[in-house]
Amino acid sequence: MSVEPEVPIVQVEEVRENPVLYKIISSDNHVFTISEHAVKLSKTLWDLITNLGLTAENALDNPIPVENVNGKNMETIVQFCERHKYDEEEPEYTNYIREFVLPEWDRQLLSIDNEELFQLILATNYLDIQKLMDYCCRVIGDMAKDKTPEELRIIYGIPTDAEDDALERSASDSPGPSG
Amino acid sequence: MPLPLLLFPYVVQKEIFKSMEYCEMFLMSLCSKRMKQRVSQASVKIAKVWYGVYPDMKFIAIQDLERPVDVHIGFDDQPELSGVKPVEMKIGDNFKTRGIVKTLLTTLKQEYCLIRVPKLDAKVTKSLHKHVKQLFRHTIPCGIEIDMNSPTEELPIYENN
Repeated sequence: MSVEPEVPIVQVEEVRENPVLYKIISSDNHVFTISEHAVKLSKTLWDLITNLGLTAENALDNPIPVENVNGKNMETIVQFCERHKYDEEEPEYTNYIREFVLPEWDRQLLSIDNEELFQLILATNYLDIQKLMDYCCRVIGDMAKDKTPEELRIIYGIPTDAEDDALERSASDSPGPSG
Repeated sequence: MPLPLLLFPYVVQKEIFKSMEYCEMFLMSLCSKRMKQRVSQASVKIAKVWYGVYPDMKFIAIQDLERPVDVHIGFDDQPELSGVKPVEMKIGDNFKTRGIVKTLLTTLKQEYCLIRVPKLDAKVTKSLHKHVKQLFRHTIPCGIEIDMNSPTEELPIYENN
């Protein structure tokens, strides 16, 4: 005789269809809706939500303003978090170098110009999204493949020692706030 | 527009270095004093450094946990530098030399950097040794692999601290 389980089995898909949603407002007043699982990828946002005491009932009535991130970057971030919200936790890295292959979907998402990538990384750093940071850094790290120091200097905008010295001299020559 | 790596917060720079190979971090450190300082400040921890001395090439290999040991920096001499334009390099404690820097692949498909200088003497090898020690923090004493036929005057004094 088989015994029926007392606890009903909830299909994972059912849970996914009714997520708790939060509203985020970017610095340029764009409003984004993000699910609870996705927002948890951002340590900053999740800490904020926890500290504000937002719950499933009041989440949508209390939009979270994020002053440091514009709408364009927030859109990319929300897309990324929604895509990766059910990913398994990354294994601990034993070595300094992080070895992983950037998935094609993410490579496409991060195929943006350097200025946008720079701003996206600053936003990612502010929102503390480790996975997106790893992926953005992989894109930047890949730019160094097969390059000479001269080429690296151009790609990463690295001033020469002479330029750094000149900059330092001009900074020390210029009058300070009181002068 | 270049990607201004030095304008990123320091924590981001460290994350970027984690996405690079050891030889790429080494090449970054050749770009400028400031960049060398940033790589050095990242305190890149590795298991062990191997120095190889063979008649036709000297090399520095980095050993990591669960990764095969492979060459990351190779160096040899070429009295008449030709091919790629030679550049001035500051290595070790501000030792200046001119040489050709290239990236190549080892047999294990590992990217490595090859440095060619007109004369590879103890000063150059010692400075390279010093430079690598300044960038990477090894946790196990360094190893050395010497071919019996290598001229001894080319050997610097290898130290573990």
